[in-house]
Amino acid sequence: MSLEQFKDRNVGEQNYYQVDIADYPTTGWGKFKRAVDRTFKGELFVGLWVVMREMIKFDIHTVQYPKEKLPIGPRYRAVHEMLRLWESDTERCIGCGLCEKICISDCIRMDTRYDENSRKEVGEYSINLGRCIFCGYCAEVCPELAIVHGPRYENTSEQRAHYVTFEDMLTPIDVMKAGAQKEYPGFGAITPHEDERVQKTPLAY
Amino acid sequence: MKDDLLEIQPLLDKFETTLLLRMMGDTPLVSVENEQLFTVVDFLKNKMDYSLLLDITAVDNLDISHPTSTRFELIYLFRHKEFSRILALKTAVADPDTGVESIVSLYEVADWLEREVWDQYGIVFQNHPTLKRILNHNEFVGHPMRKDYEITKGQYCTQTQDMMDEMKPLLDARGLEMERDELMILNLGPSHPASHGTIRTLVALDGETIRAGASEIGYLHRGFEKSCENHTYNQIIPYTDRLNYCSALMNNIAFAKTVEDMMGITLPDRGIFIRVILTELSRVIDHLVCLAAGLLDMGAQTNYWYLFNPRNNAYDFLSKLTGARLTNSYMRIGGMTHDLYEGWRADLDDVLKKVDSGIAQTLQMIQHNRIYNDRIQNVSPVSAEQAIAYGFTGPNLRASGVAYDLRFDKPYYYYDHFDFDLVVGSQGDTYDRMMVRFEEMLQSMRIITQAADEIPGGEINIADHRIVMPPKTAVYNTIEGMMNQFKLVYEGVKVPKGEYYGAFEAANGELGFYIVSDGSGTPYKVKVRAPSFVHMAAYPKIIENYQVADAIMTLGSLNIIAGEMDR
Ligand code: SF4
Ligand code: SF4
Repeated sequence: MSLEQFKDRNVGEQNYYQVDIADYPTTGWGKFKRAVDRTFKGELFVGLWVVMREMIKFDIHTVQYPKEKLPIGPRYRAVHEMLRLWESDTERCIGCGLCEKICISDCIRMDTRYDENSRKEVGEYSINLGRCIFCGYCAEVCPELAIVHGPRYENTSEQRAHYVTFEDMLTPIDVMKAGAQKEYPGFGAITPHEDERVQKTPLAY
Repeated sequence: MKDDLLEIQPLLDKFETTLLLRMMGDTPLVSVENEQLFTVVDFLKNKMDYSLLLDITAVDNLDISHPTSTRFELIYLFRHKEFSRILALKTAVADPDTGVESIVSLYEVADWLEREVWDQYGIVFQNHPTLKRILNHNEFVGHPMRKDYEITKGQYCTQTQDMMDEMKPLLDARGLEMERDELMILNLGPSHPASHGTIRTLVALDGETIRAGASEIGYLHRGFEKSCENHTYNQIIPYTDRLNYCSALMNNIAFAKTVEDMMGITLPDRGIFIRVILTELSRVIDHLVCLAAGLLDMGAQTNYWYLFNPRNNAYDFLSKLTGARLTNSYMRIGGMTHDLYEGWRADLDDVLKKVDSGIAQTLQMIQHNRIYNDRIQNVSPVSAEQAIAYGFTGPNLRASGVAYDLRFDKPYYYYDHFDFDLVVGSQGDTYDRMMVRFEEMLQSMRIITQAADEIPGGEINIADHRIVMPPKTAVYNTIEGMMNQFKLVYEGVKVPKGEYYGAFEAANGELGFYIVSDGSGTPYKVKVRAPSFVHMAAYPKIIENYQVADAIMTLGSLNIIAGEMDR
């Protein structure tokens, strides 16, 4: 199968770009000539020159990690957070179970019960971070904008199956009172231009 | 569609009594009798020029609602030598223990493909040279892809295999004997940086020269295809990230596109343009990794940093856009999760500039470098015929001088409107495989610039909220929005009943998904046509008679990605 055979296929205006390659020498003399050619052309020194150039530039790429951190984007998906309602400071999660259902790695466990006013409330809620793949689906499906991804990406634990519970994730009440809760702009967030409309989380139910 | 039917007319004429024909998307699907399979395949290859065997897989009809004649069916996918046409062949397997005739003698690539089917479904291929397990380990009992095998039943492996059952026939065929010829057995891998993943290749060495080789794969097998069968279509997308993890987004896109084609939906133009930009950026990243790692194997560490730094910039861009650096999970059936952010163009241009300068610096250092050229020129060349027989696709096939690229042969996503060149090599040696990738990156960047210039405004997702999630405001404020949201989560995207094969030009070659749907929100079966799997099958053959150090370079230049190969 030669190149010509393929060339006359109808692929529009485009051209073929053939990787430039000289014929390989087959004779001993040819090989010798090529070796001499390559040796004395001085291209080997290009590499040395590059090293020298970089050395005197002092352009250091290493990030001094714990002291210095790379910025992460606002959409970044790190450990989950649970948000509170702006109006009443109570948690947004209504225990609908969508996040548990969609979770690809089956790492969300929750159960719900009736509280004293016969309203549904979330009892246990935990995410097994040893299994979580940080895909963002839970945040995407949550109808209440309750579960979101926060920016905290440094975690340590004594064992793989490290759980975060509802209380760990929930915005602390003092932060909430100070009005410092942040909305998440990434997976499942409302689109930017709708900000005005959902400035306050609706409480029509 | 009519042309496709015309094309296969000779086949119908010859075997008219046994063939049954229907269309699978725009691919003709022909069913043949079990006994006739070999003759039909022979005819297809020799008389009708279906020279590239893409994939072999099986379907277990145990759970399917419509009545079928047998429990197991085999599907063979062929590509015509002019590349734009595919033909699918289906045969019912009466008894898996008797199975069907092996076609290894016609297509070399069938070797591993048939082994996989046997391993996963337990269908025997008569006269197959070494019908043994490939993805699952050698102590595995049962066949995991059968519908009555429970997904939770993982099995532990406690013993390694010495692989001499594969090595011995190879040595015999070459008239070699371990003792007499003073051969030495050496393991390349599985856990060695030079094996670029967990891949084990057993070689018989005569001095430094490899006389015979056999590969063992499956170290990273995690049952992707089995997992697909109990997740909804959208839930599979994070899994596809982990196929070819060097270009995760591309796998997202390929899968989403296949399902969308199956459902007959097309994205709005803006969505398509975003996909094109991201596909090509992923291709650049993939090639950067391949080349950087290849050069590092050669000791060219400076170049490694010149190629890896811009890759890091590209990942920063992706992280800002999609929320994760590597496992993006950005696509959804019918669109994607976010639109581009403010200021994306400046970031993208910056990435492109850096990639461009990284490539330029690297080429400046290596293009005429004696070590670089002497070490990889004329190493493990694969001729065009061989490459097709091995089932190569993508840059590895183009390096052998075969101008096959789906973006040209069957353009999708407006690829025919972009101005870029098809890169081909001539010898198919390691040098060509690497240089083709260098040039392809430049071509991809041309596409990105054009697409970014022309990107239209408007929606990124289709408007049907039975397929894509409704906006959050609709979920809050309307009952329909809320219902759509719940239905989509609980039932998933409903894909019409049927089967489909979708091909996509991924960084490594033709990435195909063969999907069978039973009409519900969960696929009945998903099979990935993974280019790396096919390339790996050829690897032990093409390193023969080259030295150990050459074999490392060859592995690097084939760009074997274990995640995609082992699935
Ligand atoms: S991010 Fe993904 S894996 Fe993790 S809890 Fe959410 S849905 Fe589950
Ligand atoms: S976090 Fe959201 S999706 Fe999960 S139970 Fe609460 S309200 Fe439902």
